[in-house]
Amino acid sequence: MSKKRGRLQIIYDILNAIKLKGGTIKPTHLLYKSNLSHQMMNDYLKELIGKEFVIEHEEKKNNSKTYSLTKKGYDYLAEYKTVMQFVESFGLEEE
Amino acid sequence: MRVVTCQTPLWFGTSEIIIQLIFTLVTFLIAFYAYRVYAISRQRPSLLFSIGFLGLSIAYFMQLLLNYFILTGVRTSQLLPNVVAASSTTLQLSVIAVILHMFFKTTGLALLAYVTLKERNMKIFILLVAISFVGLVFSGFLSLSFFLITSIFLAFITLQYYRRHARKPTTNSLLVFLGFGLFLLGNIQLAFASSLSLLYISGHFIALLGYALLLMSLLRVVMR
Repeated sequence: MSKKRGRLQIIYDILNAIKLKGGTIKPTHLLYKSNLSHQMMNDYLKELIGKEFVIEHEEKKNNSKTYSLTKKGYDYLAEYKTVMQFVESFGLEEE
Repeated sequence: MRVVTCQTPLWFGTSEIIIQLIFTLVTFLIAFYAYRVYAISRQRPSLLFSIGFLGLSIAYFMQLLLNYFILTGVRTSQLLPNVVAASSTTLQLSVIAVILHMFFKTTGLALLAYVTLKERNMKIFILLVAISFVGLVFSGFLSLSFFLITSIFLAFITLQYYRRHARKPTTNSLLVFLGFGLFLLGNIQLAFASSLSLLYISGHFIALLGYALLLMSLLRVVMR
């Protein structure tokens, strides 16, 4: 059984899934790629939108949603390893 | 309220200022980097950790100013014995520097204890600070109380980092645990420095070693 992912790792996985789709992703793809329950994915997305890592786009024509990475989101991906090491070294993980 | 002073050799005055300058810079560097991590990750513990270390940095800067006032005052009195070395302004500034040092160090360590204990309720932090300040203000021995209260915070922080290291041992977790452990040991020595001035000197050097380990841990993260 694989090790339980931490919050920072889950955020990384969500952002990375969006990046791998060219910076914009549909919720169904994200649900599949992030390997989370529907409820958990919505909670994380809400948080990531609040932190300005992700922007939600609503297309009224098709009544569909997409999610795009912001500059802050790309910065997080680039600095993820350093952030993780700092957080792990000083015990600053959010519970 | 009594403030206990200790006699330290004049040669240590300059060394002490250098050591405090190092403390100021190391704590500021950790605060800066923790804030950078917060800016990227938006994680609340990193922000609180940054503010805690910034508090320590300001505390050491205040102590640095205080020792500068004292050292220049002592040297003036040696060169010009007829001149009153410590003018009333210098004395007032020294008292303000001592109070600010105690305020920022106590608050900074209370915040670090709050973060490392993984508390979420901010009222716990306010309670810790309130009890600490009441203990300091109404203590008959201000200096001793200050070092004992800050040592209690450091003991909790060190214990948390020990548990962390025991659970998941890495080089960095060991460096951070030993760093805070030495910081605690140095702080305890400073608490009893009024009875033996050697403890004042060794306390500073042990704390310096502790900060060197914390800096090493930070550099291992940054330089990778």
